[in-house]
Amino acid sequence: MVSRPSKLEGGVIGFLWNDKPNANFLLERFAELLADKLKLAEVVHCHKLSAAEAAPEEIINKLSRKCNAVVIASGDCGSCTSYVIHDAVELEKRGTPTVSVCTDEFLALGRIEAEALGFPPLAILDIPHPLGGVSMEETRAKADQAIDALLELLTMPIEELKERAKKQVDF
Amino acid sequence: MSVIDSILEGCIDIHVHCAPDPFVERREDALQLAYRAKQERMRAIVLKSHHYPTATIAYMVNQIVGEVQIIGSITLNREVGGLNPYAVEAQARLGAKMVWMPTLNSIPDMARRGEKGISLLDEAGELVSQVRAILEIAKTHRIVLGTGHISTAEVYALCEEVSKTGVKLTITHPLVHPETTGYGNHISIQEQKELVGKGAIIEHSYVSCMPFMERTDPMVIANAVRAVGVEHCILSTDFGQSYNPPAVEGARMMIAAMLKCGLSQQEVEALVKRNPARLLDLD
Repeated sequence: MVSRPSKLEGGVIGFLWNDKPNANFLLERFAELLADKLKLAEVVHCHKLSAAEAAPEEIINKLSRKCNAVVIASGDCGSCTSYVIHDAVELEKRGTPTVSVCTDEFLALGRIEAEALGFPPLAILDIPHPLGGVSMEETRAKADQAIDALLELLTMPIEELKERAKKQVDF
Repeated sequence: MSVIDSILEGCIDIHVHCAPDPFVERREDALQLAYRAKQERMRAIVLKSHHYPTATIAYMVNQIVGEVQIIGSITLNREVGGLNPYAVEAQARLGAKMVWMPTLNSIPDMARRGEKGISLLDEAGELVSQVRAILEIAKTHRIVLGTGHISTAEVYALCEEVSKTGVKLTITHPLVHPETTGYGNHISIQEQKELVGKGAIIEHSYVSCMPFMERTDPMVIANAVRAVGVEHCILSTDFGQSYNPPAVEGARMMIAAMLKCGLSQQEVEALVKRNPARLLDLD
């Protein structure tokens, strides 16, 4: 795991949409809020076409090259959660801090996948399930409710992430 | 290489479903599954279908992919004529190594749908002649039997007979709670111990831990393994559902979960490497 930046003001944050319904609206709202709160220099939106596969290397490389941190959404089923975590791990390996957004139903799966891929403290933001099938307004409300937690995770020191991961799933 | 990856390398998964499936969407076909397993340097995978025998698919995939061994099986549901020794014999000759007793057409599964299932027992509670014929074929070809979704009475009768013949028997995902999942048959820890005492091997499937399945706490599996004995157990994924990760990812998560639950590397390696290799005569 790479160290988190202590500040992201004026930086560049990437948003990787995995094609899951409403995850694009969630990320767009996060981008609006973060751009405003952090006075970001730029936001970078990327889209992979299959939630059930890893993101193409060119997308990972582009995000890693351009961004100070990346938010990935969404893990709200088995396959997509697995590959949200895969994508996060690939970015972390390249030195880019990430936050993976999963619904609470799939938090445990995400945590064990992070463990399985050798990144147990990976930052996972859990939002209430479901994400798909709800209105755009409800989706944006979920983003509004989660923005403070997202901000905290983007700059959270690794030791705190380790403690948080243990609390999220402890079996 | 991490401990998890080193266990995944050489891992054997005795229970994976693949596309195509006549009734449900599957996560990947046998070729995709084999390529992914090869990439992670897994040793072998047994293809399971509820509806058709898989030995010929396994043969073709092995010709194309190589390095990872794909193994065929047959499940004795209606589509193959139920308890059909002729179908088993043909699969055995084609290289299949596992025969599952009825699953979706078992007595418990069918009873939940208000229908009559395929019974291994006659009215006197004795194994029907077709099962005895299948046992003979299994003995000749060294094929492993799996209990599938049959009832506890059938499991005991089969295990009793198998113990006399030297045929290997796995007790398929005994921790399942059918009132939650709608399939399978729960076998208690005490019953598992009794069956192991007669030579059976317990197959725990990690799929039950998935969010869309039973959400079994992985510690329940780890504790069951400890209670019955690592040497008598195997871990499989039983993955292949469209809503779950690919089976190879399932195996990786299963290994990580078992380590996190306190099983040692050596114990997990026994569950996913040594015991299944011995079961399938791969060594």
